[in-house]
Amino acid sequence: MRFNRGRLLRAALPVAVGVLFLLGWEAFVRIAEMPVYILPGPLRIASSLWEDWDTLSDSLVVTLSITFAALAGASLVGGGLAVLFAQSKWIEASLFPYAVILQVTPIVAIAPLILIYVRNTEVALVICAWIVAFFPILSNTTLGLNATDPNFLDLMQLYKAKRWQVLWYLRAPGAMPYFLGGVKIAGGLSLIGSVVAELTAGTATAGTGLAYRILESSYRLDIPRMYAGVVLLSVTGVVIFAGLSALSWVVLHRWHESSARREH
Amino acid sequence: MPWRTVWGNVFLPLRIAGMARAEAEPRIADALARVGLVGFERAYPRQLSGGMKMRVSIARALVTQPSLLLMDEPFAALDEITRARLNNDLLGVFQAQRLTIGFVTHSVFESVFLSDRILVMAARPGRVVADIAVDVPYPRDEAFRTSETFIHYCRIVSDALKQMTGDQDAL
Repeated sequence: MRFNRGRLLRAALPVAVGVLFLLGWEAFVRIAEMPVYILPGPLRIASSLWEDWDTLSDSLVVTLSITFAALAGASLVGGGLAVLFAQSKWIEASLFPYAVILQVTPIVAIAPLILIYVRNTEVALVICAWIVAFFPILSNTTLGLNATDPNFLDLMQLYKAKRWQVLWYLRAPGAMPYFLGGVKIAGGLSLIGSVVAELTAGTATAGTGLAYRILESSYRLDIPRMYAGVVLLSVTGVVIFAGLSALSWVVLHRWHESSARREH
Repeated sequence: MPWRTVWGNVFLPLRIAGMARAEAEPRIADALARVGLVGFERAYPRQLSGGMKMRVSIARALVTQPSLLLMDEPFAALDEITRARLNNDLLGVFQAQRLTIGFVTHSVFESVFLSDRILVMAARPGRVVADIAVDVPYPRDEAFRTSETFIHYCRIVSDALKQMTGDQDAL
């Protein structure tokens, strides 16, 4: 019972804080008679979300497709490169610094360059988001592949396992928790990456993603819609994170301590 | 390996050797039966106790039907009761499969109970300092563990160990 009450509180408290915050916000806007173009109240934002749902949802779909394309690409290339790195220290030594360089160079600085060379804006945006997202996957998976228990490696040698068998039966499953941890981080990053890239692309292109909508609303001084766009973005981020956490649980809960429930 | 079930772990060496699932099935069942793990096929290692994990390792080693098994302090981390039970089971496996087992241990009692030949080793440089034959026929059971002969051999091995450490102190 006590356990249940704890869980209930855990869920109820943040909700209560959120509700209080929104009530306070709404009250403040009304009492101070804030003009809508400076600070709209939550109700006004909600109604904007409702009224502009058609445009906003179209933009959301665009942003989501960029995000997921980038995430998928990052998982493939990040995971693939990590496997390649695990095969040879020399490959790792020669390529890893460039992965770091790609990671530390701010995406806002690279995005305009990419937009010049890649004709198709959508592809350019995916590339930008991908650059931001792939490094945590690469770095985590490399760590996981190298963290293999040496006793198991000896065992594999005893079984006369071939290189790919060591990878497939030992290294890859062992690196799975690390890989999924990387994907979880990359999920949020690819959303951020796609938004940043879209903002950089700005009105120069025929962008229709959420970031572009926010930008456009700011030019029109449609502040409630700006807020609505931001709300949509953060909800999307939370949903992506929750989805990836669930995926990680499904894959790992049977054997990995991170997501297994203690039974004893 | 923690991500494979008990069954999957025992299947692994055969799988790597390229054996089909159907062909491996009876051999895995046999190996699991030998170590007393029937009914735990679908369990994951984290659900097992230390002794049971060790049994899985033994089953994984037996499934390839080796003629030689090297065991390096396999039961060192286990409690006395589990250890005794695994010793009994190991002797059972030994008799059924007729294989040679090289067994490293720090326990005098374990060495006498299991072996027909005990090599006492000294460190730096690593070398054999005594070669003791335990002339007791198998099968050995619980009665042997408390018998006069058992104690007799334990004393011989202990003396050999004592002599070895004495020599080293003198150096």
